[in-house]
Amino acid sequence: MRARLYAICALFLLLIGGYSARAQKLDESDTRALIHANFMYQFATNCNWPAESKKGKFYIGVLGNADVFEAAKEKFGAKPVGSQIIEVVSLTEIPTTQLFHIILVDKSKKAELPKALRELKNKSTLIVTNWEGALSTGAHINFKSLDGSIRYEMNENAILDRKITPGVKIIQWKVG
Amino acid sequence: MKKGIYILLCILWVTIQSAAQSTHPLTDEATRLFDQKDLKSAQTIIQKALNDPKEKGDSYTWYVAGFIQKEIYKASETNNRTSPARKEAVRLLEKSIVLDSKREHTEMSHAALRYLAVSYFNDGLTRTREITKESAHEPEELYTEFRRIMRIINPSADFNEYDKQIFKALGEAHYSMWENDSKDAAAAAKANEYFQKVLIIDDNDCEALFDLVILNYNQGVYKIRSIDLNTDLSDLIPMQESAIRYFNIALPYAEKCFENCPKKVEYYKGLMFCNRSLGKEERYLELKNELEQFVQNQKR
Repeated sequence: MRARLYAICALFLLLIGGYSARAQKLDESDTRALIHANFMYQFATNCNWPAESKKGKFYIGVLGNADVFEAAKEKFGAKPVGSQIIEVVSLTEIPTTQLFHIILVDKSKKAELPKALRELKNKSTLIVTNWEGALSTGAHINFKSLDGSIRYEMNENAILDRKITPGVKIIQWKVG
Repeated sequence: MKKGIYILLCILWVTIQSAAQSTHPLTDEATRLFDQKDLKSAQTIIQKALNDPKEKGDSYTWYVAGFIQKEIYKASETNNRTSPARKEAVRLLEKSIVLDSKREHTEMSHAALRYLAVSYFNDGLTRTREITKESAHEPEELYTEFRRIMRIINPSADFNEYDKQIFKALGEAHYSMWENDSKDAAAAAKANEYFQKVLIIDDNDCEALFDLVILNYNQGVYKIRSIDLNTDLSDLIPMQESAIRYFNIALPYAEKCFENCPKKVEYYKGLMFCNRSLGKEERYLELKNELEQFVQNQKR
């Protein structure tokens, strides 16, 4: 009996381990793109466009950055800005006929900035960029990184030239 | 001559049997019933033995009682984390060890206790998968019992590997609680605490390092995701900076994981995304290219 009980004990030892419930995953969202998109919405809501631009849809174009386009579309596409509905468009080139209220020219399309400045000279289009030195080459608002945080610098006069009035908050939070 | 030997053997057998029966007849009856798989009757009889003045001082009686209780646990209570049979089995086996001054049954009691201890450990791990705020303390309680029993078997037992397993499981459980309710900062803090405990034991534990990358990085992403259309510009910037703080916490873990652990796609991504989120785009692109190479090499 004693020997038999011992044998049973040995037989029924459980095996430790094999536990693996590793369900944790990195959120792969492009956080920089999300922040850029959020700022663009802030520009849309905190700036004032001339009356003739307040008809129809509020167009935001993104040139050269699919992640910002996706984030913007998902976040505020079809949402209102005043009486206008936002439409976010992924651009392959600078639009010359249709009015875009805001265009983001990504650094991957840096070479397109001069064209944008030239072609949109007489339009109330806010030109936003995201590379160092873009403001001095004519961009209206330029994103920059400060200790890892995305902020923006702006050329107020250039914006006013396009008959767009930046709101107090936009001016208040600019850097540089 | 042969007949004489046969008679002698018979006498010897009868003597042994009667001696054995006279030592602990109730215990023997219980074992007989146990052999017949009649656990209920075996339990009834062994209870009598435990109360019998002649048998209750024998460590073997307590061992058999503990063993029967263990089998009852196995037969009907393995799904019950608070199994009374298991608890009772541990108590009886502990008592058997205390009474076993000649250490005749201690080894067997240890084997049975080890089985029960491991069942506590496994229950603790399993419980981590289903905890809520209210039941969050349960896995640790089960684990504490595992440790207590294991110390009876071996007072100098090394629990480092077990500690790591349970802390990681608890960290992951609290992370899941945070994921289900991202406003529950206490759950995230608790997850962090458990993963840090793993690193105290082994500061190169790759799983815990990467768990900390995920925990901190995803909290940063959550901060950014929580920026919505109603967020004022004056709130957006502090929210972003709060996210940056999380990315900055995640980055050194991601770097250590990437440098010290066997290369994995997820470790590349952890370091890539931390760098991207902190605006270190060159490093991000460099790692992205390296990852593409790594994936290609793996395919070959």
